[in-house]
Amino acid sequence: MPEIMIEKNLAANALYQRHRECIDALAKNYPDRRSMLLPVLWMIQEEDGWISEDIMSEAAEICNCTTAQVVEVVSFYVMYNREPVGKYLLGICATLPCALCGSDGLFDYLQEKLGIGWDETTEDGLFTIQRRECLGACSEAPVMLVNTPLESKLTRVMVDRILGECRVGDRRPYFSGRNGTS
Amino acid sequence: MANTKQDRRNYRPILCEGVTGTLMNDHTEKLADYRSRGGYDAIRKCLDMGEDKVLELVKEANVRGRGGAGFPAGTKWGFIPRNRDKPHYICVNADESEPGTFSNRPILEQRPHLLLEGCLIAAYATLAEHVYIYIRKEYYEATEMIKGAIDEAYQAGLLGKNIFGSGFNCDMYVHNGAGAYICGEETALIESIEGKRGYPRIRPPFPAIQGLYQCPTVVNNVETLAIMPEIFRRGLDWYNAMGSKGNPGMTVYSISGHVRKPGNYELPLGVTMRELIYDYAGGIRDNNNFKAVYPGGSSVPLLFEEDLDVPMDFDEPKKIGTYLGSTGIIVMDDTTCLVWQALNLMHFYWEESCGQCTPCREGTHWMHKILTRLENGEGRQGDIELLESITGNIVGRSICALGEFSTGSLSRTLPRFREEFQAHIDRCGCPFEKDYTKFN
Repeated sequence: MPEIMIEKNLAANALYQRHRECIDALAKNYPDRRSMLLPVLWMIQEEDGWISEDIMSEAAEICNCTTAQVVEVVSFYVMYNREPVGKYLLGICATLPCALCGSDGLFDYLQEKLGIGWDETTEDGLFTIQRRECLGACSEAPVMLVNTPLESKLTRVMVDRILGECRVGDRRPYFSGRNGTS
Repeated sequence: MANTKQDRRNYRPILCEGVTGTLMNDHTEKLADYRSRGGYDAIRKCLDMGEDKVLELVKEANVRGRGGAGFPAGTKWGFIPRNRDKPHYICVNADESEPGTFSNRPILEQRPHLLLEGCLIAAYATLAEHVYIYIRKEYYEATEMIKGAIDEAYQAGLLGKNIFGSGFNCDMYVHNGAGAYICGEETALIESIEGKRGYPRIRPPFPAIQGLYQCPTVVNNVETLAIMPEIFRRGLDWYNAMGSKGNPGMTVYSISGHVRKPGNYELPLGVTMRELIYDYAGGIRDNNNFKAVYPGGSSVPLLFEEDLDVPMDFDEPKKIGTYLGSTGIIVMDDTTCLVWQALNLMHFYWEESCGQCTPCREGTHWMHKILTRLENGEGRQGDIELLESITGNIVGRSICALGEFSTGSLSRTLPRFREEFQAHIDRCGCPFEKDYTKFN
């Protein structure tokens, strides 16, 4: 059922060459190549932290679609970053159940501690604050994603500890970098 | 009321072993644990029964879809052509994004094999050989657990070719979203798997005829599928003994907001909102008074004090103009400002509207603007009438239900609490202190 990768087309495609094994495995999951677009974009983001215009055309080649089609997908889904982000992405849940339990105050506290607002990155490139809609952990409110782990029932003390852990590098960064290190 | 209080009390101990099962232990059920509890016996039973009998039994059980609409799963499966001219697909909707809903998360994280077995039953009954589990990206841990369970199942020969030597083949794949509420709508979810923007499709054609890759497709919610193995293991009588008239079985109610014991409560369908809040969730925090509650996620109209005795099944709330929806219950006490909460949610719907239909795209934008100025003390006389006019012009005028969902925070609220909205205009600002926004 899966279409076989046409290797000669992708010989010069740096993205494909870096992730050949993963992409070939992924191709077996779908009957067409375009379906790989969302997972391929996640591969890019896990490596770079964001999705640049240059790399979108490489993704388009792999997924057998146009660059415009990639752009429309990247701009539709809010979790794809179209600008570089910090090593630690703080995704605050801002929707009603968390807002009823202090998430507005959580944002104010982070803003005060880090000196940045929504979608801004600290000057040292360490933290970015993003607004997330309901994270599906409402009984644990307020919650936020710190890169991938969900931190729940947050308090000021916990936020201080989490920021400290990020600063000393006790937590995995959001993206790995092209050589596997950031 | 279909159920007496006495009836439900008797069911409670059994229910702890429903789909949530071992949840309280807070760890992931591995394949060996699951099999020691009869795991994968249900699919084996199904393979002996044959596809048609499995479908008949699911129809007879009247399992109503737990995603929100309550459409009977057996009927949905029955729309799939009974031939193999094209490949058939099962899509699992694990995009749980409805504000206030967190009942799928523990099933995904802690009982992944229960879901996988449910998927196998659905695939077998609908002649499908491919299952896509669409998990929202924010559920990192759930994604890991489901992927791990799929690997375990392949290694044990429970997925792949010729399962239990029956000739039945089934492959499963995980597909992550990327932060779009709309992808919980079944046709948007299909578009998203196809590598496109999550734009809901115009129906007909329905997914049962032209769904994923233009092939017959069933899209089911996680909880709906997780119920299936238990029905085949324990039998129809077990399932039908619970619930209210026309609403058999149990469901997982997610309770959040201003209650003392927020959490998931698995109970028979038809338990009343008053019991959910006061008997299970421990009542309102800080001895405050109750004000309003979203009974089924933030997309359905609010219930107020006088509505609390309504049985929470798929049919009763409709009689007073609201829905069971996703069973995400958000409770607000009397310190809550209803303009503020509507503004919070309107930001959500404005942000999440896919932008295809003008009434939804523009309507959510305007309502957000009006609510912002009301809350900031810049409201104008006539703003309430304007909100009413906009809500009236969205409902029924968009491809999918998101348009209508955006009016949930206002439709029953405006007539009931009109003076609270008016006070924001007359006093040029919000009269509430909103202590709940503080973070300590």
